[in-house]
Amino acid sequence: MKSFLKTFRFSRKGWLFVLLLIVGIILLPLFSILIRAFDSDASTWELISEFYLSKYIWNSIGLVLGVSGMTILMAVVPAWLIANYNFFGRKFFRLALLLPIAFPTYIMAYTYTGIFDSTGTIQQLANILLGNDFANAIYFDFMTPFWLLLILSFCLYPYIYSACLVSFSNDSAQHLEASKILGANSISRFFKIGIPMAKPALFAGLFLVIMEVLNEYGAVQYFNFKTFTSGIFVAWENGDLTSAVRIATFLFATAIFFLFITQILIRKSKIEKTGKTPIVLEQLKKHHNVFAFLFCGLLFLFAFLIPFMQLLFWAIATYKEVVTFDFYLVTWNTFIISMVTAIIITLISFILLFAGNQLRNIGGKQLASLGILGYSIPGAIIAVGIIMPFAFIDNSLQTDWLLGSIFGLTIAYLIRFMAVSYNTLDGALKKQGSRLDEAALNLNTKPIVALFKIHFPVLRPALFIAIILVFVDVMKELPITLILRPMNYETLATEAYRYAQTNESAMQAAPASILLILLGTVPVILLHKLIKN
Amino acid sequence: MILEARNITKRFGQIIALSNLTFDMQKGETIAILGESGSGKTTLLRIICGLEEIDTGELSINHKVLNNNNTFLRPENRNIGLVFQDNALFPHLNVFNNIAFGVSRKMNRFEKVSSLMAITKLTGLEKRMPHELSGGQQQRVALARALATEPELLLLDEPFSTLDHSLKNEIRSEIKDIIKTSGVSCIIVTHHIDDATSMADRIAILKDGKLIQINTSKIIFDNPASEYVAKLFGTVNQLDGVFFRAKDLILGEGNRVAAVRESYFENGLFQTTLEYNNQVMRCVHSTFLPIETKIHFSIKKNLSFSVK
Repeated sequence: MKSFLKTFRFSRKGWLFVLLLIVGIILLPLFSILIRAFDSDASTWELISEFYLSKYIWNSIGLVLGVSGMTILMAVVPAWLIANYNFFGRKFFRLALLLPIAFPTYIMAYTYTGIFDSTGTIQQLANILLGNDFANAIYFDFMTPFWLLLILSFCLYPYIYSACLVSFSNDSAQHLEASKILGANSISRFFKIGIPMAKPALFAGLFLVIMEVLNEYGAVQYFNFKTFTSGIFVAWENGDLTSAVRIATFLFATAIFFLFITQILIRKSKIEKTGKTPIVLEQLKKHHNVFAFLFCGLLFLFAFLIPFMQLLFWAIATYKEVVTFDFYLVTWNTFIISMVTAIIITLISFILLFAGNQLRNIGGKQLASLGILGYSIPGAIIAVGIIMPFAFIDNSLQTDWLLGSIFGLTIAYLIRFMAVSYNTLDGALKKQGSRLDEAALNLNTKPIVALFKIHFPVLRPALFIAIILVFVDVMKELPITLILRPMNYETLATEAYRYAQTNESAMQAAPASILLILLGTVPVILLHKLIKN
Repeated sequence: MILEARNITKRFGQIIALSNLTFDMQKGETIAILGESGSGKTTLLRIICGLEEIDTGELSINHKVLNNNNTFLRPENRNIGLVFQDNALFPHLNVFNNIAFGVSRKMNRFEKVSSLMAITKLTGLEKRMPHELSGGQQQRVALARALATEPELLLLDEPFSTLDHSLKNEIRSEIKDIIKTSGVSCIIVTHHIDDATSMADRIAILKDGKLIQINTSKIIFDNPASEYVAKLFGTVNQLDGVFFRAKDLILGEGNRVAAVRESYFENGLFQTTLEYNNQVMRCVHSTFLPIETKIHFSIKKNLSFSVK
């Protein structure tokens, strides 16, 4: 037995088994959905398919397209300005424009509603300063799809901004200089050189934005905008799991469609970059300087500063009432589950990556990359997809280990966020190259020994970054937590969402929201450091 | 006169990149700017095309001021072509679109580009992407792109530095033909004497940001302004305070006797090192001379320098 285990542990078969096990767990909700979707027990499906399904489809696609367009507009211009020009506040904006990514969308949504609704900050200020008539005159209905689109764009544009900023900064100065000498003015350089060369990064960022929009639940629910995720929740809350699964199948098809489109766009726009002359920042003068400052300043103001200050104001007003023992307990719960999950996910993705590398000559890398598919699967699909196998296992073993347990919740997070840590580690491993492996083999070191003696210490900074990134994602996660959490188990995200759901207590969501945002800035600072380097 | 540079000075912080540079060039002329790394030659090129501004002095083209204390004409408005050291071809555009980049839509772009492609022997490669081209082809695309805007002045920045030796001679002669055919005035920046002598009508020698000498290669070779300039054009020996070229050291005649210290075969001749009164001299000789051989020598012609 001992010798079997030894052989098994170090053999290729052993790595293959590990690889298949991890990938199998990741793909579990998908298989489960495909099987359950054909179940005939769907009490509300007729109603959904007749009255709601087309709305879910068109609203979801409309939201994806709208947010995609808006985020590109918001992200590309400041990224271009910051990468190529020197203007007042440039260094500050380089980091500051990343900060809105720390804002969960549902928090941004209820904060802005609190600013603009009939009893909100704007109305109150207008009433006090300029009278009731003026306040009535400037009132408008905030709860419309346009404002939802804008709010989602505020939170999601940093995905494209960061990708484009890296791409623009890595361009060779010579291409821009060559275009200048060939007569291209600054606008034509942006459209003819900057944008085409940044397309792969732009589409990669756009892909993340699209996946986040499809995964979106809190803000759309708050605006009562009917998308796939809100449909899944309604069906699930009505106890009709099969209908929830069927909507999830449509959502998955839409996600795959957009995944396919963006991957084609990325592949088609890929270019072989040549030369690397560092970009020399051009000093903007007079009105150009003012324009750059205003563009970046207004974006930062609306996408971060105003909602953050409003939340801070609310938090100061309500903290005595909200920050009780229960609040500390929720914060502790959130910290523990996020940290433990982040460490587990990072270690498993490290093993997945290593197993994939060991088996690369028989397609191990490709198999391992299936393990990161979870990031393309919206949280609501993972949640409803995992309920059935969990229930089956629990029923078979007569236990309640999985469904409605912390363990089950952790597995769902693993499926969803494996890609975050896997990609971080993979990037670091690629930088390190295959020389270390080859050197270790040359010195008669076995792969398992190389894993712990070489890769683990070398990848320690990347492991640390991966843990932080997953930690923050888990902490902010909403749909999976709402569906799979144990009874009476709250996290900061569900607490903020619960308060925000009722207008009367929206202000009380502020302390949890502020905490989430502040913790969310940690990966932003890490990201900024990476971009700077 | 196509280009006039008057007292051009450029500083980067405390470092003086160019100091009081004055020269001019005639229409259709090719000038090579020769100097080692850090001599200021690339800075001069960047100033001419408008990628850097001068601190003092004046630069004009066809009597139109490009840059002085009051004026700075942006690079996109100068109509000067530049071929970058590594070509800087736009990686997202194919050969045709790279060449057509600067050609106005009002002009007949297709005919213009096609004719340039024919001149630069690129016909048939229109749809290739830059990374699908050889080094020589990339160079020709960069040249065609620069010529497509019909520039008043063409600048080449170390044009052959990325090519291997066998390709370099071929491309150099092709590019020289293209430049002469187009009739464009041209400045070539290089640190290779061979590139300068083979391509240029005149050579300007820069050192530490100063223009030391500008003239034809023959005149500079025969009458170098300084020891530095003389050494750029080949081995210079110094014996008892007298400078002379290796070719002017005649072996087998004269009163003085030197000892052979080294002799090896290179490029069809024997590179020979001699020692006389503890001073070392180098020359080339048609036959092998064994080490320690004593041989008579004389010096045919001395060099004298106007600049120390």
